[in-house]
Amino acid sequence: MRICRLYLFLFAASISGTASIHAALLEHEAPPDVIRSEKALIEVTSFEPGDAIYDMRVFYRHLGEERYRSIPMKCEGYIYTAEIPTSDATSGRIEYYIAYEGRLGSIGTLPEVDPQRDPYTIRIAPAQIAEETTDIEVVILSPQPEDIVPDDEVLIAASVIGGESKIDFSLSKLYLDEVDVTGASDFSEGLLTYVPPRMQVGRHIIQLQLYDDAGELLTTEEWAFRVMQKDVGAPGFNIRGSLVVDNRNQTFSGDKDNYFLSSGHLAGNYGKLDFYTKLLLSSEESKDRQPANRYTGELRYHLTNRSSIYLNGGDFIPYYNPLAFQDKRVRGVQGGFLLGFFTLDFILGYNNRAVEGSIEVDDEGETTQNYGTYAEKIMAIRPGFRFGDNVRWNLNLINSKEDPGSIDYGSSAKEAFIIGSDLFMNFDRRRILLEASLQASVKNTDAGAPEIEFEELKEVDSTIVDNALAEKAFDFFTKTGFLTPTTGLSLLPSMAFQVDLQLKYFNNNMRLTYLNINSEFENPGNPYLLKDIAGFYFTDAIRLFRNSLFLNLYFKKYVDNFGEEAFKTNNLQYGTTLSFFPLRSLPSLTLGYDKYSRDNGVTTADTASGGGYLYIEDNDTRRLSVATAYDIEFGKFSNKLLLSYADYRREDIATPEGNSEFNTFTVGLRTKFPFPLVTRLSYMQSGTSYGDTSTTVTDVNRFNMRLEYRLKDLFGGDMLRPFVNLSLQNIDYDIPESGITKTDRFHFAAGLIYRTPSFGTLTFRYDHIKYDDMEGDNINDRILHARYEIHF
Amino acid sequence: MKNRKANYRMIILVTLFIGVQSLQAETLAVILKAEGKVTVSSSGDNNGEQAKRGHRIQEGDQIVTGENSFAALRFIDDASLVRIGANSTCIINGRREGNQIAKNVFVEAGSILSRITQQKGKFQVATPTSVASVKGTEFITLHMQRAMRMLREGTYFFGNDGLVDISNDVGSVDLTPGFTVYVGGKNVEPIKYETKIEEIPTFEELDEEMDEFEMEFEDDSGQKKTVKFKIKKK
Repeated sequence: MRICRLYLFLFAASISGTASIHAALLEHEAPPDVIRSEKALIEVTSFEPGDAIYDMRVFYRHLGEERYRSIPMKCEGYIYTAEIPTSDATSGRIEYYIAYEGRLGSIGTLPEVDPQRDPYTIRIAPAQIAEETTDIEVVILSPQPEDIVPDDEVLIAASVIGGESKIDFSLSKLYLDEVDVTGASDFSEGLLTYVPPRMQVGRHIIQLQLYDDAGELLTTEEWAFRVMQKDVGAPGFNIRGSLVVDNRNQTFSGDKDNYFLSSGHLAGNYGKLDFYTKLLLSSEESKDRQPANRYTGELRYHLTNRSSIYLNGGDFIPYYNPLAFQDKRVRGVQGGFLLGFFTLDFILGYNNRAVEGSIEVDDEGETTQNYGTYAEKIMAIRPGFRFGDNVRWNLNLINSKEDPGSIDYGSSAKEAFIIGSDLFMNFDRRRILLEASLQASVKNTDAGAPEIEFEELKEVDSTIVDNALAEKAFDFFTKTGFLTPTTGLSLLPSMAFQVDLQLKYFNNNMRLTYLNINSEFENPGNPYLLKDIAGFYFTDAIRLFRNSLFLNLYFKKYVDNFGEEAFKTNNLQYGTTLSFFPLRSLPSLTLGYDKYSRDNGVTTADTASGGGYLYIEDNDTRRLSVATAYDIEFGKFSNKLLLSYADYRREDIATPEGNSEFNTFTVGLRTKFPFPLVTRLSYMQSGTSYGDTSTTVTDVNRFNMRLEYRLKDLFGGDMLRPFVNLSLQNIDYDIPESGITKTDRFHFAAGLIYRTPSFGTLTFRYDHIKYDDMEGDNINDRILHARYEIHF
Repeated sequence: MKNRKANYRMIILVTLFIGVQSLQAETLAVILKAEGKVTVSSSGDNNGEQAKRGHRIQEGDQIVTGENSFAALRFIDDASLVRIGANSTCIINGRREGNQIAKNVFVEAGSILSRITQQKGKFQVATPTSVASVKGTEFITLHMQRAMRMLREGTYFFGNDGLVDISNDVGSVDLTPGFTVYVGGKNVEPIKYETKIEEIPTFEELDEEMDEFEMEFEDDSGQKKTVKFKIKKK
């Protein structure tokens, strides 16, 4: 049955482009178009949650950007969620993909193929800039703007004494130096309070974003203050924490399962000592997968305002730079110090723990080996230098080693050695930002093989013959033990280089990037890094007419698959969007155009002359889009209407059978009733056709409805939020010589969230998913989910 | 039978939960700072808890400071500041009136400094002897439960800025900057005289000399803003 379902989704994904599933049985649909400043909710449904997922993240970028930003997805039972902020999305489009570490440490993505080059898209309709809501007044209580506060006495507090009934504090956000600290703050009864741990000396910026219950940004309050080092005084003790208990019960394809998760954290400071500890326990924990339980403990002692020492233990995610360490969990210890201009960081732990493979023998005596995962040790050291607040220069050495003896059934054990440096500079009050990283890696792809001498390695690897430097490198790795001298050792380093320059002048926000990442570059500290790519990227966001008009331009020219000359492909992409954000009385509008060309230079003569493995890639894709949003008031009913249309055309010059057209039309209506009910209705219709003379046509119709009611102050400061979601989807496939096939999908969800100021939040949710598989069978899946969460 | 018992337990728990929720009073102010022994107890509760940064002050809360201790709080409607000196006891009262809070700080003993810069709603400081009604000002209230050193038993109001109306059962007088109003009892007429420096109680930070300088910043759009920095001199 599951095979049929997988086939169905793969089929739908390949044709409609709106749904996708990975072999781990994940389902994801790109969210409907979003109005700027509303959050784009990304949801991934795991159909086998106990089996596959270890860590999941959304990588997103604004149109034209090169670098993806990553946010972790929260596991809420069988659903993984993340919210992509759209407040600064003036380009009209956000591109994203989802990446996860599988049970055995392998990396999977959605979309499955080429996610970074061909990501999902969310179109962002320009919101009308809300008029100043005069009856909402934010009173800044602490620190007052430009106050100077001792480092251990910071309290962030603000109140909304008027118009608080319009504000949904559960949706509102608090940022401290651009870091979202909402989760640790207390937002209730019109009052926000947040006690941060000991803060760094210097200037800090607070941003408070207040949203209404429809998720629309009402007002933003931003102010700055300075922190000074406290001279004397008795140490104060501050502590915050949270507790989460989560249970889900599900029936998928007739199989019943129950999953349980609980977590808690404590964070605070005592005098100059900051501490943080987190414990997460999951019923998924098993020796047959990477750890589902997480333990974290962090201590940092502030010696002076610029000097501190720290020690982290358990599970942590270090960050060096995108080419060295990013988004990779390590279990072990991390320690280091910041002493004036000198810094040092040290990591020792495990990237992966050993998970045994297996061997199966069938009735005929044939054996099949299922590879397990080797325990992978990692060691990193990073000395660095700080020159004031403007320049940071770091060196790094990373060494990872899979232990061939840790399991019986595994493929080749791998080792890697990475050495590099990164530089960060900012000048002119951060109007000029420069970030650069250069890394070199050497690896061994078969560390479990018998050890050999350099002379023997030369017989295997002809590139190191007559290379004195290679021999020195061999001696170095052998003596230090960083890499094992076996036949899998590749002594010639692979390089990765990236430099970013950002300039913010004259209402421009300009970014130039050059990167070159070799296909053989090995990086155990960032499993999601895109390799085998080199090129130049330019993007510029220009604000005009007092921020009512935004012009975005971008240009990308890069090559990928250049690791092998025959597959080297040239990419050229350029485009522009123009967004108009008028006042409330006029509709907002975004227009977009871009073109994307790929050409690998292979000709029919190449393919005919024995290059059977070669294929020709020569295609252009042109995309046009228009989106508008308009506020309409009907008496006491407040409506926001969204219309968008996009048209994509792909012309395959080499093989006309690869021609395709895709267009999508979306209409959405959000209504706020005079009582606390908000409804969201959206209808999306898309059509796709593939082929030249014989065309496969796919029509997708999707209807989404969400009703949400909010009952506030039932017993004082509390809120009850019942909701109902309904999603109906119909896909018609018209395949030449096969006729028309129809599939329907129905997803109903209902639940309630009860939030109290003192006793936390209780959530119940029920989901019913029903659809037809390709054999015409009806499939019914049901999930019941309960969650309790409290912050203190 | 077991199910029925479980249901009863659930009903009792829910009732208790609802009951606790409904007893919650309205937040009036928030503690900015609490140094030393500072306890907050809600109305009718004798067991106070140690105040911390961010502690929410509700109607009727009593704040008591110990030796070498002090607290600072702000009202949430207009950010009016109240600093409570050592060995003081005061009760915070207030009533929401639309977007404002009619505030009343009852000083049972000790001293408070009130700084009201953007007043919304009434602001009164009451003592056993008198009531001070404020209209945009900064002043200090000191209530002596018994005579000590050069200070007599009764209430002293020290005017720093603006105008304060001091009244009790037998009379009223305007407190102006540089002057002190002394009220010996609720049936004793207020007396106004020029402030004697040695009588003014001390508050942390109040006595620290401040230095100010300004810097001009230019944002991304070229707009210039002047930021004033305040530096404490040691």
